[in-house]
Amino acid sequence: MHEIDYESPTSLADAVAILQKNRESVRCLAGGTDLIDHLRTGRIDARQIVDVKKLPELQILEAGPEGLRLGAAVCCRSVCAHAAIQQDYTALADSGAIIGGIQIQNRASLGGNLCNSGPAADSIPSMVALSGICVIAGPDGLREVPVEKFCVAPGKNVLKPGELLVEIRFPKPAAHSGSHYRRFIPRNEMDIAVVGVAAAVTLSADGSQFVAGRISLGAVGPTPLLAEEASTKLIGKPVNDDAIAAAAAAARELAAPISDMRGTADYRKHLTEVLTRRVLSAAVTRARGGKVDHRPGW
Amino acid sequence: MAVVYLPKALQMFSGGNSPVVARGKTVREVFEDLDQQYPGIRDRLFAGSSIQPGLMLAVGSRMGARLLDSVDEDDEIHILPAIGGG
Amino acid sequence: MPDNAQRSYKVIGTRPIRHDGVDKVTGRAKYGADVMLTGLLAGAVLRSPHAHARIRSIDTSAAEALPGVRAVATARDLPDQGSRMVELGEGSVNMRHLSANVLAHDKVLYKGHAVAAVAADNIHIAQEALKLIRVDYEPLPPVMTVTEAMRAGAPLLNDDVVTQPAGNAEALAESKPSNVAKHFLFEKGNLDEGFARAKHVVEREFHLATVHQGYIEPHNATALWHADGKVSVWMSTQGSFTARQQTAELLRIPVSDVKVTPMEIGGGFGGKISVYLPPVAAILSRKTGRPVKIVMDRAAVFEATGPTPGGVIRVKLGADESGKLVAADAWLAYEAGAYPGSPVGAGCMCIFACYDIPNARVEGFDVCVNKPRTNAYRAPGSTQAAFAVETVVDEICQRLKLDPLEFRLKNASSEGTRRVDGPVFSRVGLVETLQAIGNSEHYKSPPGGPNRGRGMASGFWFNVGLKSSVTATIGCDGKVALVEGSPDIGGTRTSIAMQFAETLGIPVEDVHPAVADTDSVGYTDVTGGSRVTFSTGIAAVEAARDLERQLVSRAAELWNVPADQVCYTNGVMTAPGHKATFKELVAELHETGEPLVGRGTSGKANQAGAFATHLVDVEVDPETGKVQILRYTAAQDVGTAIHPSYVEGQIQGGVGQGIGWALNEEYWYDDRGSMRNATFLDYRLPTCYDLPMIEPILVEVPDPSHPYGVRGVGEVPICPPPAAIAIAIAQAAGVRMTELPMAPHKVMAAILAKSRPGNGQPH
Repeated sequence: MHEIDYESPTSLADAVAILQKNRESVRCLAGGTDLIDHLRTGRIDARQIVDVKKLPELQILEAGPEGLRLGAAVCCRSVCAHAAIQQDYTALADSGAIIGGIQIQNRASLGGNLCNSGPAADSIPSMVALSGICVIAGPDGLREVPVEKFCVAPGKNVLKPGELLVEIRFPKPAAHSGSHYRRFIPRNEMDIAVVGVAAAVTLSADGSQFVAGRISLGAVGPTPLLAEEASTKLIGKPVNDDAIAAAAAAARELAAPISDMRGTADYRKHLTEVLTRRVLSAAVTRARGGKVDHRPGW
Repeated sequence: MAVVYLPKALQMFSGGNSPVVARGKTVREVFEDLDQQYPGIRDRLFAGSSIQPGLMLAVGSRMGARLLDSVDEDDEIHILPAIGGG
Repeated sequence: MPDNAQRSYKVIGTRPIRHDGVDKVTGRAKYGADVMLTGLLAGAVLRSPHAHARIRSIDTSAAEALPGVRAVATARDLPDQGSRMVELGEGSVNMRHLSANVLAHDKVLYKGHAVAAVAADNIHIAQEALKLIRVDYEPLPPVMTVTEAMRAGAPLLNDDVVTQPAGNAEALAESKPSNVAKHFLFEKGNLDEGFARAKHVVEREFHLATVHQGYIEPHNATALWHADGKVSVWMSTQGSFTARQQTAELLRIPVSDVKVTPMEIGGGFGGKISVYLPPVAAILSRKTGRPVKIVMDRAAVFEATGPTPGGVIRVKLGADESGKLVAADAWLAYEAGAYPGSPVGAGCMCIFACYDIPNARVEGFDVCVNKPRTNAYRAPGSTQAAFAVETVVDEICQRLKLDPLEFRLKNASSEGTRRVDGPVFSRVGLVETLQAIGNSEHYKSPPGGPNRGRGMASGFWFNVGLKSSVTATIGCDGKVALVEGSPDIGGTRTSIAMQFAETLGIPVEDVHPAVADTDSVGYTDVTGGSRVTFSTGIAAVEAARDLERQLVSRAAELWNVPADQVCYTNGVMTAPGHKATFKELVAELHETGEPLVGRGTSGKANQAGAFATHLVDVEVDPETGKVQILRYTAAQDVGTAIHPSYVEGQIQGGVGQGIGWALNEEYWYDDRGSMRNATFLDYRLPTCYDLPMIEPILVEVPDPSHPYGVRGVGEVPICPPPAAIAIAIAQAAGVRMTELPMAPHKVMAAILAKSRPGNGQPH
């Protein structure tokens, strides 16, 4: 490995200026749990590293009537420990709790997971299901992109040279809402999702009908995707096995996976349906105020 | 007389017979006697003064016997593929 | 021989804290990667990107010109080996193949095959230099399975390999080069008559994936070629003496000119016997005059060091009306990897070892494929065989509606059973392990719940004897420095020290065991074959007896009494009118005479073999095919458990690895013969979340060939798990898995195939 310059700016303007200056050979460092690994294995090359953890905008973690502001460098552990996230944005906590072990969770951020843009990233489906909006800073100021439009290919996203992700904003879910994320892995820990599914649902006040729903799928295409046709199948339907099964079947049709060492394409399509069913049921339980007792890996 | 079990690859010397009997107080002597009965078999058993690479001997139930090990009357001698342990 | 079970011991059977424990848990223990020497250079190895290719040329000039690079080496720097076979302690090795495996000669035979090496001022420069080495390859089609490799006209890996036939040896002279290196054949009774008598016959074919031992510590070596021509090596190895011999033979220098210092070892399981790095580090050191350290990364460990073979096994069993096995036929083809030497011979000898079968035939093939050269892994060759035969045994039980435990008891091998490969078993404990499972709380409580199933399987491994040396010096304070040549992988410092302490009647805490380099202790074979507690144990007992003889004669001298009136028991020396404890006596002897040094060696004794029977409960998710292990009990004939905690640890470790092998571990290759999962993220060893508490049951049937009845325990526990789990899956989900690993997607595919009309599984 060759030598690498390291900068740790404390203002967003400085950070953008550094990124702008070096464009092609610079990389942002948040927790570094992907970056350092990729530099060491030679998967990516960088001449300069910009540590973004000292930028106050990237450490914001606020929940209020407007919704949730999640700074791009906030670590998973803080996300999991946040009471409002546990209550209203539960899928984010589900994701944060299964990314790596505790040491990794103290470093890794959801923003970093998004910028790494892996098709199997565990937090992106949750951010999509909860209607996250990415706030991006660049030489021309700030711009916003919905999370589901952020990734464009494995490892690639809409960030242009000189830009960085500042925060992800989530609207406050309506009353009687619940969300969940679950992945399938061959082991019970330390694995990349073979398929990951997140869902956020809003039910009628009596809990009997789907008012809104968003299903997002991971590891079944080049990017995590919003399963729109599957999500719309829920709206206006009574909450029962048939409605959930119909949405799950639609999700399966939207999955366009590949075969690799983590599973075959057929198996991934099959799992998409099974997991969507299980995840929707859990989201409904939460929307009704119940607890979901899910042992990761089972 | 020791009773020697020959592997398939050596039964060409004994006209397809196995086991065969041979005389000797040690494994080496038994094999020398075997060579008297079945000329040429020696070269398939010995490499110089030791056992052929890739072979393992058993006297009775004990694997890993050596050429100088003593052989009792009616002892069985087996010629087996060498094994490695983990 | 005394009946060991009747004897009461003071030290044996207790659970003292291991002597090396504190240094290990505080991170002070020195492993190979910790070696630091003045002027140390960092070495790095260039590895082939192709699974199969001819090397047209290697241009190292640009790498040599990079500032900070001190030397570059290729196979041209290794001496020619001709076509010699050399006996290396645990089997013979074709030196030409071993040399080509260390640095490729004219061909690369697997992705990751070492091609060149660099020594530089630091590892970063060394790695940058690798990128500057230009290798001109002519890619050849890779051959990745035994089936492909055995096909007529298959691309040939080695032009110097011809099939060593099982039958007519004259065919050898005429035969052409082949990927099949060896053909084995074992026969007993009359197979056709046996099957004619069989009422129930089941025949199945099994497919096995290549798996790795998965030790945590990567291979490493530091070498210094001294100005006087001698070579020092510090490394992680299971056998310092065989590593020394391999290194010397590869460099063609006298064996005693090489000194190997075995560092602490982070796992081996058979994978750290073969030498990869020491000769490379040595030639780089010779070129630079400085010590060179090379440490593999994880990808190199997976791609270039010995896995255990995948392959194909066919098993056919026949049982009569009463449930007695009357005929058995097996066909095994194991991947050798790039060069000959798979454990298929051992697989052939193990496959029917648990059963007393009058008519049987076993045929085996050692087959070269474009994968790393396979090496030993815990009971090499036996686990694959157990998976096949035990699965078929369970199907026979299902057909006959016989209880699997009763069936096994009815057919079990015991003292006097003649194996298919010829020898007759002496005192072995398979029946006792079956009875122990039958009496276990686990066996008596049903698995309960939907989608749950239970499986039982047995396994066998030989265990070896081989040679060991020990010396022991009594200090003036009555403590003993015990020097041994067996690298300690599984707590053997303590289990050896305990046997020594028991024999000499002193506390084990007063024994300080140390593993020495090859110049400082007598010849000792590898830590492998479950032999150390047995064989090095015998050497330690001999060393203690040697000291006891010296103590008695010196006490007689001191007290001026005839030696036959001096008696030493339980650490106390007595004679008429005299009495002294070990420590009192030693203190006095220290002032009155020469040092007390004992020696012990072993090498004559051989082990009787070990059996295990396991019971497992699983739950299968019928919608995902994922298997959870709910409960696991492993009964094993352990002879005498010297340190029960370490015996239990060996059993739990072996079962853990067997569970990984069963469920998720495999080398996953793309169509170019490139392993795509050479990381611990995607090569799925079980984590602690995947394993229940594994309950060992220690069955003690002492081996009469050891003074305390020790039987090797390290290997056989890996044999039954894949079979036991497959059987449990069959009960839980109604599908017979015949392929390893039984990964979720494969179990799910089997479940879906079963539910499709007309696609029922054979029953």
